[in-house]
Amino acid sequence: MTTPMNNKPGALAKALAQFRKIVGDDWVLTGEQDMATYRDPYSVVWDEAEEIRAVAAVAPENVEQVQAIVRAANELGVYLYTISTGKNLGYGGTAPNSAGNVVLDLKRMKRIIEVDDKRNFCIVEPGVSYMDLYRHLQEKGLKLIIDLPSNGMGGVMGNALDHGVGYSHGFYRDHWGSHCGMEVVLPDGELLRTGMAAVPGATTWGDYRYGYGPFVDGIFSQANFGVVTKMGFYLLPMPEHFLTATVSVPRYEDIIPLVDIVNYLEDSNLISFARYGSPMEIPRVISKEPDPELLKLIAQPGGGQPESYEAYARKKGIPFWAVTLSFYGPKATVAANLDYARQRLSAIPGARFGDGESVAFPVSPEALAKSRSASQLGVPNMASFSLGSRNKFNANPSDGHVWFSPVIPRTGQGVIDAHRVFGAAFKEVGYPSRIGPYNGPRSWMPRTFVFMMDFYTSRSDKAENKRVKEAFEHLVRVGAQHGYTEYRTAPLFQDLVASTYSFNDNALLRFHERLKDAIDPNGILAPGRAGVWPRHLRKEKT
Amino acid sequence: MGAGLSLASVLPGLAWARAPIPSAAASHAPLLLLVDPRTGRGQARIAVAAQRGTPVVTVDDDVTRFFYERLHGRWREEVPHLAGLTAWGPYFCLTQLARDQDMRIELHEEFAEADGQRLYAWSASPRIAARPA
Repeated sequence: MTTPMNNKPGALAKALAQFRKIVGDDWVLTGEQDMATYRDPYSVVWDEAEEIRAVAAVAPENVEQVQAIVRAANELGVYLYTISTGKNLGYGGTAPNSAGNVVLDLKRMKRIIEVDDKRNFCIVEPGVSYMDLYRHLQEKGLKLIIDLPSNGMGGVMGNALDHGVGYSHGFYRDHWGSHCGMEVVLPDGELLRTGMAAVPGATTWGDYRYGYGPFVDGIFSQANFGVVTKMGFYLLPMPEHFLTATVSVPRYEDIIPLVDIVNYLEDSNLISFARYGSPMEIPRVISKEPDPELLKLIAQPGGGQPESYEAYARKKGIPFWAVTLSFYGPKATVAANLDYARQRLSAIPGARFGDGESVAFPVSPEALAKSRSASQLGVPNMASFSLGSRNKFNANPSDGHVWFSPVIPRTGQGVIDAHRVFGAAFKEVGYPSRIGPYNGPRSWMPRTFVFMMDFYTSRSDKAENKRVKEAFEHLVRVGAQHGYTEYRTAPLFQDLVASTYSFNDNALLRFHERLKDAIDPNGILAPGRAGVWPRHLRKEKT
Repeated sequence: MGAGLSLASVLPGLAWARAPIPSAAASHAPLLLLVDPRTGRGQARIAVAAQRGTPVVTVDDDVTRFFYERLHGRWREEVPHLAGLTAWGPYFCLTQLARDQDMRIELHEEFAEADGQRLYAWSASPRIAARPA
């Protein structure tokens, strides 16, 4: 939706006056310089009429202020868009998902309420970043590991609420799935707790997530039904050792047995995160001159055919696929699990093995400096932002990116089919393919393959941004025709992606709309988030 | 670090440098310069800073360690006037982090280096203290 959604005449001014009484003048932001920080830095419509901008921002300090703000907004019919630390880069960042919103910035709510390293959980407020939590663990000497996304600047709660993912062990990589109990301010200002947090006097908030009766937590994730003000999370106990090792296989279709065996190993809890890749994938850090012959292959329309890459790999004496397996646990156990993994993977003719890192916990500064796996070692970092730095081999790095991240079947054949479908889709839309037969699946989310494609955005090249938007939308539509669609998306594409979950005449969306009408009848919270619009805006949208 | 150092003296030639500096900066706020040493321009800035006694921290594309060691949880209190001449990564990340810590980063100039690198000259200051009285 590009039409500004105006709040009722005079309502915004009244709301801001109320907000100033609640939080003080310093924490209601309207000036140009302040509001510049509430733009999506990776927007594919940067500086265009379609760019979604906030009308103001308000930053409360505690849940009582949140309740008061929400009540005032509800009475006046003013839209609020909630952010925690605002680091959802590639998915909107600090910017709201629709026009006319005041950003409700929860960055000041930074309390780490409880961390227990015997029961292995934490309870935090929205402004707690991964870095904040890490520092807390270090300072208190707590033997716990946080599962981290690449973006170490992000918020623990915000990442989980948008179904963010990470790189360590098992279900911990599913950040939403690792949560345990929450506190939510509903659109009428009422305060709700779920799970064992709903039991006065209970000390089991961080233990048991389901409580009793309907498990409603899910409606507050990737959604607009409430403002989440506290969450519990399960944390991985600090293991004794971390190990990585590689397995490489020579042929394109070796991906089929490779995935089958790696799935078995992971689903049996014998390995942790498995990173699929290929030596023919141009890294985002381009630090040496890429082989012109490989660049020519990659530039083929649709990314080219597997046979040409197999020929290249044979000529260069390199494998087609390489997977880095990771292991956490006692040293003897991880060594035994690695040994078993190698035995199973040896069934693939031509499989070769290599050593990776071997790091003891707690991680020493020297070991951390040498490691390329800081995130897997539980150290939040910003290394990924150095990817794609401008240099003589990478003359035009992007200003940002959006990801098209469809979920595909967790099989080697699923990967092969995705190459074919999306390679053809890029050819069809006439956009340089963002994938080729060398692209492996992303397995951050346990038991799930996401087939990620990067699109780069520019703050100056509007024509290129337009092409990105068109290509992205085309891929969403083509993907949906084959049963593939996104697990997460930027606000610009929220309606399109929501429309792909269309079973039974969009029954899911219609159900979400029923919930929205019941829980937020005035439609003040993040209208349109995940395609869920309040009743009074649905007609306008269509 | 000498008394009375201004941001203007550290990054000369920028128009913003003629703007009045908040009184806190002139009296007691430490000034720290973050510089990418991998280009000639960066090396020249380091040399100027050394002559003037301005503390300099060098950084490449990843500002993680600097953030943890010098800014995290203490930016506003201990380094309220930070300036930088860095690659995109540090500038972008610190801009994102500044908001959390109620700081603000202003970009002043972009430089294209001969080898294709780009450097960004920026300064940080407290958001609330920067407001006019």
